[in-house]
Amino acid sequence: MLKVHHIESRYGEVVGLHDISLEVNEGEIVALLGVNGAGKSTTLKTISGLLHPTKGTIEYLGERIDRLPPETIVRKGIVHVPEGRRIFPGLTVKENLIMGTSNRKVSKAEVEQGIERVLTIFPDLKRLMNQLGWSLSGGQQQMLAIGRGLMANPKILMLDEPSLGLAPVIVKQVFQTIREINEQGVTVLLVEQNASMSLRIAHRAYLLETGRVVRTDTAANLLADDAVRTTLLTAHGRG
Amino acid sequence: MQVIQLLVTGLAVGSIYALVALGFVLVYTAVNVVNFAQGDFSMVAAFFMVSLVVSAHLPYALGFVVSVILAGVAGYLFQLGVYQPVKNRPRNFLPVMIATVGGSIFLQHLFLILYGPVPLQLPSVFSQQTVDLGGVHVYPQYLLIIVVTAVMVALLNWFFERTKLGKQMQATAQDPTTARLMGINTARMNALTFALSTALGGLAGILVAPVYMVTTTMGSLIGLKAFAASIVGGFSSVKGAIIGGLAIGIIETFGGTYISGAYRDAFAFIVLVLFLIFRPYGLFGEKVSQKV
Ligand SMILES: Nc1ncnc2c1ncn2[C@@H]1O[C@H](COP(=O)(O)OP(=O)(O)O)[C@@H](O)[C@H]1O
Ligand SMILES: [Mg+2]
Repeated sequence: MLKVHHIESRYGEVVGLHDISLEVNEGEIVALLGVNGAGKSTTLKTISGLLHPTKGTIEYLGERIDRLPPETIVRKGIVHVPEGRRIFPGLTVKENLIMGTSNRKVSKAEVEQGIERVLTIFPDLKRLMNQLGWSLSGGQQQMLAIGRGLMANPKILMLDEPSLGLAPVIVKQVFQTIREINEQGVTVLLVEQNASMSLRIAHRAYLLETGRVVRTDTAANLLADDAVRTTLLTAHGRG
Repeated sequence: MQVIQLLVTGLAVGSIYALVALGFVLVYTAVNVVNFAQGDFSMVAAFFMVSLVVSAHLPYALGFVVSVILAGVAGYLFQLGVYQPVKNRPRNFLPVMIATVGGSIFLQHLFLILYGPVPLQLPSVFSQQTVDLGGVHVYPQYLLIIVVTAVMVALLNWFFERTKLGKQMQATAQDPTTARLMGINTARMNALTFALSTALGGLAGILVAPVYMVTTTMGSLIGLKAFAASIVGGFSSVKGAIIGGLAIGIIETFGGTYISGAYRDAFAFIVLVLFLIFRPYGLFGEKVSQKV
C-alpha cells in the first residue's frame, strides 16, 4: 500500500533521515520504534509531504507521492496526526473535528456522521464539544487529535507518539482505541517510544536509529527478542 | 447636545479607523506580518469609486460594491506580487515589512500617474446638510459610515463564527502546518485574508471619501491612525481593532475640539506612544512593540 524506498530527508543542512525504507500493507498496524532523535517524526513528515526527500522515493497505491504537497497527500487518504497533538487552540472541539474534513467536499450529513463515529470511539468528547481546544487536558487533546484525524476518512492513519505525556491508564485506553480503529479497517503507521505497548498491538515494526532502519520483524518476534528488549525497553524504564 | 454631535462624529471617524485596523489585524494574525500598504487600499478604492460613479455614471450602490470588490482583487494581486516572493525568507518579518512599504510607495505613485495630483471629489449620496435628530445635528454621511461599519462587523462575525471557510482561515492563522495536514490550502487562505483586509480598507476609503478629498496620499494618514488603533486594541483580535479604532476616532474628535484643532492629527500618535510605553500589549492583546 505504502512503500518508502531509501529516503534521505534534511532540515536545511541537517540530515534528519539517512536511509529509510519501509513498507505498510493494507490492514496492518506497523510500528516505528526508536529513541528520541532516531528520525521517527521526520519519517512521518516526509510521508505526509511536510518535507520532501532529498533522495529516494515514496509510493502509495502504485503512485509516486514524494513531490506532492501535504494538502494533496491528505486528500489521497494518508492522514498524519502530528506529535504534540496540535489542536487548534482557539477553535472548539467540534470545530476542530470539522477541520478534519478539510481534505474533501463533505455534506452536512457526512460531517454529522463522522462526528457520531468519533463520539462512539471517544464518548468523553461528547460533553466537551463546545469547549475551546486550549482548555482540554492532555488526554482529551490526544483523543481529539486522533478523532480529528479520523474525520479525514483515512486509509492510512499515521500517529506520532499518541501516548506521550499521558497518564498510564489513559495510555492503555489510547492503545486499545488504536487497535479498535484498525479493526474497523484503517491501516495504522504508529510512531512510539513506548515500545512494549506498541509491539503488543502492532503486526510488524521497524527499529530506527540515527535516521536508519536497523531492524525489522514481526511484533511477536521483536517482543520475544532479548536484545530488542534491552535496547528499547530499558532505555525508557517502561515495559 | 454638542457632546452627542461630537460623539457621532468620533464614532464615524473611528469606524473608518476600525475597518482599516481590522485589515491590519487579520493579516497580522494570519501571517504574522504588518502590511504597511493597508491604508493605501482606502485610496485605491476611493479612486475606483470616483471613476465608476463620477466618470462612468454607474449607480452609486453598484459603484460602491464594485469598488470594494476591486480593492479586494487589488489586495489579492498585492500579496501575489509583494508578499509571496519574500514570505519564505528566513526571519521574514523585516523583508515582508519592507516589501509592503515598497508596495505602498508603488501604489501611491501608480495612482498619481493614473489620476494626477489634483484632489478629486466624491459626492455623498446624501446632501451635505446636517439632519436634525431631536436637536442633535449630524451629517447623514456620518450615520451611513456608522451603520455600514456595524453591518460589516456583524457580517464578519457571521463569516468567522458560522462558516467552515471562516474556521479554516482561523485554523490557518492558529497553526498553519497542522492546517495543511488537514488538507486546508493555506496559501489560498492567506491570499483570501489579504483580499478581505484590503476590501475592508477599500470600504473605509469609499465611506470617508465624501468627507475629505480623494488624493493619492489619503491612505497614509488613515493607515497610520488605524495602525495606532490596532496597537491600542492589541493587534490580535477583531474586538480590539474595533474598540481601538473607535477609541482613536473619539479621542481625536474631542481632542481636536476641546484641546487643539491644529493638533487634531497628533492625538492618535500621542495615544500610540503612551500605549507603546505603558501598555505595549494593548487593551486585549499580545506584545507587538518589539516587532514594530
Ligand atoms: N526542525 C528541525 N530542524 C533541524 N533538525 C531537526 C528538526 N527536527 C528534527 N531534527 C533532527 O532530525 C533528527 C530526527 O529527529 P526526529 O525525526 O524528530 O526524531 P524522533 O521523532 O525519532 O524523536 C534529529 O537529529 C533531530 O535533531
Ligand atoms: Mg518525534
